Amino acid sequence: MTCAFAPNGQSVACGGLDSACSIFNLSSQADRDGNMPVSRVLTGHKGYVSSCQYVPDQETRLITGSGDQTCVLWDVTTGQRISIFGGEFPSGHTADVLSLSINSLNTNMFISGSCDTTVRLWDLRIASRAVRTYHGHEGDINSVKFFPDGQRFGTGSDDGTCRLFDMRTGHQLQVYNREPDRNDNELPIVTSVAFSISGRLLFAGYSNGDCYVWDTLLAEVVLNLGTLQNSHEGRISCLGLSSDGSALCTGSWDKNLKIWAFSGHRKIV
Amino acid sequence: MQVPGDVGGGGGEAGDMRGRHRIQAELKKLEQEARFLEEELEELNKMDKVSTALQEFVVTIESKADPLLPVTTGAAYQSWDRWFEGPQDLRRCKCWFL
Repeated sequence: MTCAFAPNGQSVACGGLDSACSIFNLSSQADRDGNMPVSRVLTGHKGYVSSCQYVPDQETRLITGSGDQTCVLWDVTTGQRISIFGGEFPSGHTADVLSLSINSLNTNMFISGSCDTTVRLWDLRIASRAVRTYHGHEGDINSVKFFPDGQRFGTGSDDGTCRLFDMRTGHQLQVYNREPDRNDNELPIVTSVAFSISGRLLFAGYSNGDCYVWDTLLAEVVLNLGTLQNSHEGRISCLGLSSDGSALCTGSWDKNLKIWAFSGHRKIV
Repeated sequence: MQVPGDVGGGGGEAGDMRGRHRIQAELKKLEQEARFLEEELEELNKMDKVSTALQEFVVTIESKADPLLPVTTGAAYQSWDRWFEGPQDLRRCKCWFL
């Protein structure tokens, strides 16, 4: 269900329905069938691992989100849990955690999105209590992503909307609400979100194969990649930006990954 | 007369003690939760208005060069267009380039 590169690009972590997170060292020798051996398995979650991300600039620390309603900070070298966020303590999520995002500007802070319709902000140093809880969505939150400057974050939900929240104050700054279908079909759900490098664009993948490019300031749709030639033919399951922000990659249930970049004339002011 | 299930003569009292401890633990949890909520309310009263947060938002998005925007500020890099150069290693790369 989830995978992530280590900051140095030498390892990959992935987790799923086995309730574990497996670590692969990319410099290991693959076996005869081309499969990489697992170098470590992080066990302890009591539910599926929905999301994982390495703490930036720390090869040894990883955060996972799980169907057991908790997030866990792991020491990858020992395989031990350092901290558990939620669970027995109050202010934890009350339903499955589906997504997480670490603040790249303050790597002690991360957010988690859950089926309990809330996002919670956590401080890695204080596992006993969420710093803040953000309400607004009316359905499972499938995707959360920090804004490039780490001061706000975007979300995507089963309620069909994306939202922008201010991290510090908790204010909901904007709702990105698509037009209802003319045929009155059910509103597609948002599966994944990502910001362009300036934050002016929000990319949102939907269950019907649409990929909307939202203007975050005007809350208008700039483009639907799902209507372009060679667009995906199935649900968008994941998306992400290249590190320099020059391209978007989308993954889909049509089994393809596609890379999108701007091909028009650029005006620099 | 001994009733099945009796454990010695003090089983009932031990059960009462356990129940009492459980209730005390629950009470402590609730008191702590109430304290946290009071702290949160105090913080909310001192919170900036949403207009401040929105102003900061506008300043931020206009301050960084963005390769995916048709009009953007700051320096542009040739590497932004590398996606249109096609695969570098034709022998190994199976991507097809539109």
